[in-house]
Amino acid sequence: MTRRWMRAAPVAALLVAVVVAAAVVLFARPGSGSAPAALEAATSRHGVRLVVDAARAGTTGVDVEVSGAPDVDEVRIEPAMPHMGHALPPIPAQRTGDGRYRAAEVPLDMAGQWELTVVVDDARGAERVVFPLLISG
Amino acid sequence: MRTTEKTIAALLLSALATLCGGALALADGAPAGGDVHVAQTLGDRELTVVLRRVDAVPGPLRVDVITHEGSAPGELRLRVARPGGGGGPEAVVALGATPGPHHGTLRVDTAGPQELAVDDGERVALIPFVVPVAVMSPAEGLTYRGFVAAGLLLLVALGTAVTARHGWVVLLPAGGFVAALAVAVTAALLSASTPAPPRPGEDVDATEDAVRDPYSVQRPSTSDLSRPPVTLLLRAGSTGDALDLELSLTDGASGRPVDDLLVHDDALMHLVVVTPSGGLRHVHPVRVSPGEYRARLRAPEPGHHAVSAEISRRGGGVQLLRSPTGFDVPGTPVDPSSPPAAGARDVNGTPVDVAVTGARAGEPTTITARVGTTADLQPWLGMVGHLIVVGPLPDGEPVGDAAQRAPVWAHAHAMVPLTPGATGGPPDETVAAYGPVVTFTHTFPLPGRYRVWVQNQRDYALVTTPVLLDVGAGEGGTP
Ligand SMILES: [Cu+2]
Repeated sequence: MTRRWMRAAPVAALLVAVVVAAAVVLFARPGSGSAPAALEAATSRHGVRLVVDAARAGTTGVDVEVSGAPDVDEVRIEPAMPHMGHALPPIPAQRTGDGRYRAAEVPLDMAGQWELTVVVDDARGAERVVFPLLISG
Repeated sequence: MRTTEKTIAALLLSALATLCGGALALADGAPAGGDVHVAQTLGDRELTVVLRRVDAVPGPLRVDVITHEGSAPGELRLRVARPGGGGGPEAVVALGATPGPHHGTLRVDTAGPQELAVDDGERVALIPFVVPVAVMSPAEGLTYRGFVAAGLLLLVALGTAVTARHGWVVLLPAGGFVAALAVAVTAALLSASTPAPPRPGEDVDATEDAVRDPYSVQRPSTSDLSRPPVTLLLRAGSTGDALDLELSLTDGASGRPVDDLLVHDDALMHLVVVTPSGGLRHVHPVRVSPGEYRARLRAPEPGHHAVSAEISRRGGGVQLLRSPTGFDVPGTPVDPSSPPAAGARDVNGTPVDVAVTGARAGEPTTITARVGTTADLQPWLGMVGHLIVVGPLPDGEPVGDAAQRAPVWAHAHAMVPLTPGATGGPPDETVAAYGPVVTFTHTFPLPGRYRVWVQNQRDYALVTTPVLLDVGAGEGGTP
């Protein structure tokens, strides 16, 4: 009897290994949304680089780097969810350095597809550049 | 040696438990569907009919009828039947004089398309809905069967290992176990990437077969599920001191009745009427037969009324239908009212303070209303607040006529804030916990004088705050 049990040992070990591997494959979820998301685009006068601290539902900080034409008066962020037909009030970004701006609290409270429109205001008028951004739950 | 035996047995049992657990979790699945909230302007009453989720078929269907301030007490008869199937057993809901929810329970026999009849003795509103069933995708089914087979083969392998005379015999069930497990795992991985089938009642027409097995539905040959635009026909008939509106919806291509409206923002149709004096009526016509809707307007004003209807057809997309005719009530129009611009005012006993920032064409304008003094607003039509925008309107003519030609009619929302970790769907209107500040952001495309109305629910009464809003020229001048 004991010998037969011993014979089962390698089989059992194999099965357990397979089950563990399967469980790892099935239940492991790749993490997402916690790393900063960086996006770049350009208008006719400015290059705009957008860094979202955390692209997941909640309030996040957003950094904007503006290159190109100097003498920028103001930088604002206009968040919207096109699918919901929902727009948030514009959020002014504070100047933190040369061509660098930061909006500390952007309330992206809902998971889904967002559009962050960056408005760069200078003496010649407002330029808008739209960044699509996926916010995870 | 006994220890080894015990360890092996324990390992095998735990492996088996893992497999069965996984299979059960997959087979269980969450019940399909959720609650359906439908606003209904039935006779003189403004009702919200809530169809609670059906957990089992046959089984009970709980219906909550929420009445609002000014609803007369009385009785409603509810019936549920398959479309065109006539009357099933009735439930009588007694509406009290106090606004709030009233309950009734019906019985649903089969999954599939159904109609709830709400009868106030004078008129019968027919609300189409779908009783869904939880279905497994083919890949999920394969995963389930694979795990079950793997579990059984594991038991056989165990038994064989202990009892068989020849060691190689064990390889048969063990090999089978590995194969079954491979199938289950592969199917599980595939099921994550299998596209969901078109939803019967939402994307495609609901038939009983489609509801029972959405995977059997032939996908339309194009990926575009949308349907033609809708033509809105309007007739107004006077009944004493009220006005009965008859609305017919026809397909813009075929001309046939349109009977595939989805419940969108908690109603089949949102009808917005601008009166000659500049008042706003926002009602929810009831469906009385395919493509035919009725709504009653109380205390109609003499003069021209401008009308729009917001609907969503099955297959996707919200449409704003502006009636090219509007309707006229005989008599001499009264002078237009002139609502205050931003600032504090009193609306039927509720203090409302409105602030506006921006107000330049082409730029986002933010309208903030403080309604009441504490967080006691109730969601109405699934939102904390609604903003209706009509304009630009020239001065010195009846508002109904001006609104009939106004280039802009818009409708923005203040959404119910999300509660992290909340389950069970959005809160219904019995939850009075929102506001008092509601914020809307809207970009006005044209400069000029607009009339906007902020709508909220408080104490089961609708608070409609009219605001006169002057929008300045944008940076680039008038487009
Ligand atoms: Cu509505």
